[in-house]
Amino acid sequence: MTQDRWLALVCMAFGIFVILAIPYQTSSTPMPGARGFDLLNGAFFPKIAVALFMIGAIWIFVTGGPSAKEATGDEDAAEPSLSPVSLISAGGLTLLLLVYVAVFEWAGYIVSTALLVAIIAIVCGQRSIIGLLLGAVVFPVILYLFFVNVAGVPLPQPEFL
Amino acid sequence: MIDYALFYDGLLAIFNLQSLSMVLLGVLVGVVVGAIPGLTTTMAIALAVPMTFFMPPLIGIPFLIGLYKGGMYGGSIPAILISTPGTGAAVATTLDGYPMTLKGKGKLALHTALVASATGDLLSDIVFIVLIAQLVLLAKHFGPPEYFAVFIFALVLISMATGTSIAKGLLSAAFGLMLSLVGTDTSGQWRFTFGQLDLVSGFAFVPLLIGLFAFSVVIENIVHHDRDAAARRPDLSGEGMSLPVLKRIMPTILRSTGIGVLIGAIPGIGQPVAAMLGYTTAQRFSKHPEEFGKGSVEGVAGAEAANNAVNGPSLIPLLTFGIPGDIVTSVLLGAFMVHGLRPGPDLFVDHGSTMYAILIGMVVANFMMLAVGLLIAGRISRLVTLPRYVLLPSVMAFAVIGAYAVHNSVFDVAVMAVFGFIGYGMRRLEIPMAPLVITLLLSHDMESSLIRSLIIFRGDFTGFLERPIAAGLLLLTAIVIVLTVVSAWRRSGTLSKIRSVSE
Repeated sequence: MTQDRWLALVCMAFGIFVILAIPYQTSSTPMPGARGFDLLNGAFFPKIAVALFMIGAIWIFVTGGPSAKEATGDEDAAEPSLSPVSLISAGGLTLLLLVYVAVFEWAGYIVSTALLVAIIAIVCGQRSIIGLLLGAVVFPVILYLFFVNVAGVPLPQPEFL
Repeated sequence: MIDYALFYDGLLAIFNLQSLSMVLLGVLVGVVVGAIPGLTTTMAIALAVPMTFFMPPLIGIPFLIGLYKGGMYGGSIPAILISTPGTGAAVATTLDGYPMTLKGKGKLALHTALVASATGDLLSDIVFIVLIAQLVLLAKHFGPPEYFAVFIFALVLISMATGTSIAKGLLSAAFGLMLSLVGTDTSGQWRFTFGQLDLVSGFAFVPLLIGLFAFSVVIENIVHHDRDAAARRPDLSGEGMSLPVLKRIMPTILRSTGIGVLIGAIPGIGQPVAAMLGYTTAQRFSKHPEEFGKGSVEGVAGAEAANNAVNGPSLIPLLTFGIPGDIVTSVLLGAFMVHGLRPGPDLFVDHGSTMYAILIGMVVANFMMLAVGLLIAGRISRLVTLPRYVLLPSVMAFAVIGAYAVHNSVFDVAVMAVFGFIGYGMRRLEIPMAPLVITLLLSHDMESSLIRSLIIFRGDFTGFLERPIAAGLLLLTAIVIVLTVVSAWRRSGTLSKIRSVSE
């Protein structure tokens, strides 16, 4: 099964979820000015949107998606790829950011961002301790000073201090 | 015709030290960001928008416009120096720019790209300023049915012209439509909030954009880094632009500018197509077509003039109807709205002098881009080899604060994270992002114009056919759909299979 067909299956599952959610997550009251036209309620546009989404997903599933050669006309074109390993790596980075979100208000902007910057720098190959400390501390502090004092954005302070 | 009184007010409004400094800063940042492989102009604008929240419109928007223009030129720098286009539009520049660098003519290639970009952009901005007043008058004849028809036409064009698969374009557009449904409907009832208060206002546009265009790029750079690629600093000791070379490339620049202007006015086609058309046309008209692909200065000029000439006219559908033609203008639309400048036919009525000030700022940005490029293009060559352990963490630090600053909400940072993951997946599976972003922006207006139209027509859809402009646009939409599907079938051999079965 091609990656595009897997994509189509995931999208169809999502589309079915949205179809099932429509009666519970939208209003059946007709729009103001549309009294007498039951069609025009909060579910009208979602039904159109999910119908188009499912058409796109089914179309991709049936055709299997164009090959890179068909799509570009280039005999040597590489196929689009999203390997399980890269998906897990990407998921890991996203999870890292969600952990950052979870500790952001407790640890404060500078501490949490310094840790995030340090981890990403290490993942990207930074091996110098001094470089790591400079990047992880100096840059978040500069941004903090700019956004708090110049832009007026109230960034959180650490709750444990 | 141009309203000269408003034009004069705009001239006075933009020619002050603060506004001009911000234009210059934007151009400088744009050139630098565009020159760094792995960073994109769209990312830079998405990250910069939250930083302009606290600025008045005539400081924030000129900065973003400068960033946009600087970034378009900046993307040609790594294309020329290390064969790594910084933007999709710079792919055509790579074809002759990099061979020029290998022959020791890197400096000439950079200067050619700069002159072509600045000239193409300047001329297209002038065309835009002259035409915009007429087009705004045309837009005044549009009611809800006409707006709905324009939105549908633009979305179909963008979904079908962008990317390599119509089905994926449709999927992307429909996904954007579904995302826009989260929040409240046109009557104020909650919709798809699943009881979460954070979702009552829907997904904030800027954090979503930062996720799709900044965080996803960081993920891709980390996960797919080519560890074997050696970073060599290119040699720029050769000669730069001279008068004989300028005379030789000027006809190419003017021709490609015309191509870019025509393409820019049509939503969804965009800079990469313009650049390629500009390049191939330059080859066709060149006295030395055999030099193309081996380091032709006309090749670089043709591609760069065309891709920058798209910039001015691409703002036409944006400012008259509020329809962005590509991802970058989508982000600019978001910025305009944040600053209280809602695109549409009343924009030049309600904010005439401000708008003319911004347009004049666009023209000034071209001269600043020329100056910045001449002064620092050579020095920027060091940036193309900046280590990623410096670059990517910095982008992340900007991204999280940019997402947080919109509503001072940590939920928006989570939105950024999730859409970064989705954006990464879309990039790897070659699902175009432009339809998603543009649909997300337009869907509320589209829904309300459809509902208002159906109220006018008392629920009868055929009412659209009684309005000439709306009917014409819907017919054009149907023609585009049929032609695109037939063309796709021909490419995949489906039509010949059907014929062989029926014979």
